Amino acid sequence: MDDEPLSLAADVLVAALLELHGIAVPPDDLGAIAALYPSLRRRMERIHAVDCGDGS
Amino acid sequence: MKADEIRRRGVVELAAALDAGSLTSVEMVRAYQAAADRIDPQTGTYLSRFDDLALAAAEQLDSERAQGRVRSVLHGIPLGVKDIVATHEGPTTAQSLALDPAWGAAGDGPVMARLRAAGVIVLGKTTTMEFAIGFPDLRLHRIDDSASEAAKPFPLPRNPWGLDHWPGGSSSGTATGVAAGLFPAGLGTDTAGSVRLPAGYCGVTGHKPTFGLVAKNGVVPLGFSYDHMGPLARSAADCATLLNVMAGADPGDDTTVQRPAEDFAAGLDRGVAGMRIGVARSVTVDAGSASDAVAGCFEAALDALRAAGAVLVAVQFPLWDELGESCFSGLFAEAFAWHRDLLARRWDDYGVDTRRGIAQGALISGGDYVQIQRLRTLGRRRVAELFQSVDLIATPTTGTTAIRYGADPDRAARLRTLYTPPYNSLGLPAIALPMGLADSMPASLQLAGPAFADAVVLQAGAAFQHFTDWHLATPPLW
Repeated sequence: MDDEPLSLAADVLVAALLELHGIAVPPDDLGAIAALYPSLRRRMERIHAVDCGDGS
Repeated sequence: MKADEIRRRGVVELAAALDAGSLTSVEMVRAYQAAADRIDPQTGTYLSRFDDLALAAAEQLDSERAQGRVRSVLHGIPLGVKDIVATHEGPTTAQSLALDPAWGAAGDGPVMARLRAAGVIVLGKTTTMEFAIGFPDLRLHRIDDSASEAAKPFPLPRNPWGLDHWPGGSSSGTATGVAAGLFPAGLGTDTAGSVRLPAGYCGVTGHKPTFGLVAKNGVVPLGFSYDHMGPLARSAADCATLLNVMAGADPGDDTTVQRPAEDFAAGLDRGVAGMRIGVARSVTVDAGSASDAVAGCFEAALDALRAAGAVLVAVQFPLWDELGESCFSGLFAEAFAWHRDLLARRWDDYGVDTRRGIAQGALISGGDYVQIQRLRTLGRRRVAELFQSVDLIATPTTGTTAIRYGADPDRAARLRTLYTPPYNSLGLPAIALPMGLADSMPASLQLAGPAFADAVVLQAGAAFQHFTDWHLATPPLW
């Protein structure tokens, strides 16, 4: 997953997800959390790539 | 006994001196308090000290001993307690302005109550990272004498081996206190390495027990399925002595496991002759994440284990990277669940790094979290298979020594140097043992075992410390 194409959408996504939980985030924090999003997704994609079988 | 001699001794030795009548608890408490008066302003070990209460407790315990009543081997032993663990002496802050001051007002949780009943004395609450997460947020701390920083409320923990270095976290103050001789042992918690990492960076011993062995209610949670409470002390033998009291199921923590009582100190002198120790180099020192100096200390530590009779074999640790990464993602999701309402109400009262870190938990989807749990299940199965061929697995605790404050905070690179998180995902017992100095700062050996093999892990740790003396080293600040 590429960092660049996600960066704009991540801002919107992060704000929406936190707002759903009733958390209003100041712009500085929002930008910083959004900047973490691509690496978080990369980590999760690696975890999803593991075949854990059908038993769990 | 002179104060300096008291401060150099571990729990087992101090208990023996108390038994022999050559030492009193009051003498001990006074020695540690005097040391803290001098050293704590430099190390930032304590968030709060309970000097009067500790002395009163020591007098009471000395009186009981004089009357022939000795509660346990820990009778009259002083401890430092990480300030996310509730104690009846005072409030718990989790080193945060956001935590409700009423949290923990009920006092001791089950582990603290067990220790109290066994006769320990709480000298004070020790510094941590805010809510036990992450790296130091220098915006929360006073790192110099500038007026702009002077109003920040919490001391910055500093490494006794080099005051310009981080001591590791999040059980920072407990590790600095043991290293600097401010108490002989203490309590920490470990969600991704928070007992073993500061133990490693500060040159002390720290044990993360098997998940479910030690109850964690009465502790501010971070990631409930990754959190472990464990002892930090000068030796594996001291950790075993504390674990003997700490272990046990509690109805207030559904994740604890009912097991027969076990004496973790009983086999400490059995050594490692014939023990099969897997060496996981490919995911640590051979993965490019360790310094040459730490790798050198690790090889010397392996030589010591081999000389003591252990059989060393190279192993490939399955899913190491994935289990480490899933630890952080999973704990963020679990931390967000606990902090959600508090973040909504008190966002500005959190440290900047803390709130941004925990908020990442909102970005983990339900499907992500389930996959993390599936991976952990698979990991437990695969690693259990590995433990069919070895008794323990050895790695360094971290690939580098303590970082210097103000160094470039490349977090991704720094996280790759931590070899602790896979064992939180797996819930397996792991101990951090001093294994030398790398560029004048402590390096640490990690030994891990299968579930509920804590006694074997501690036995191997004690054997290593029988043949090495790194755990006896004291820092320049003493």
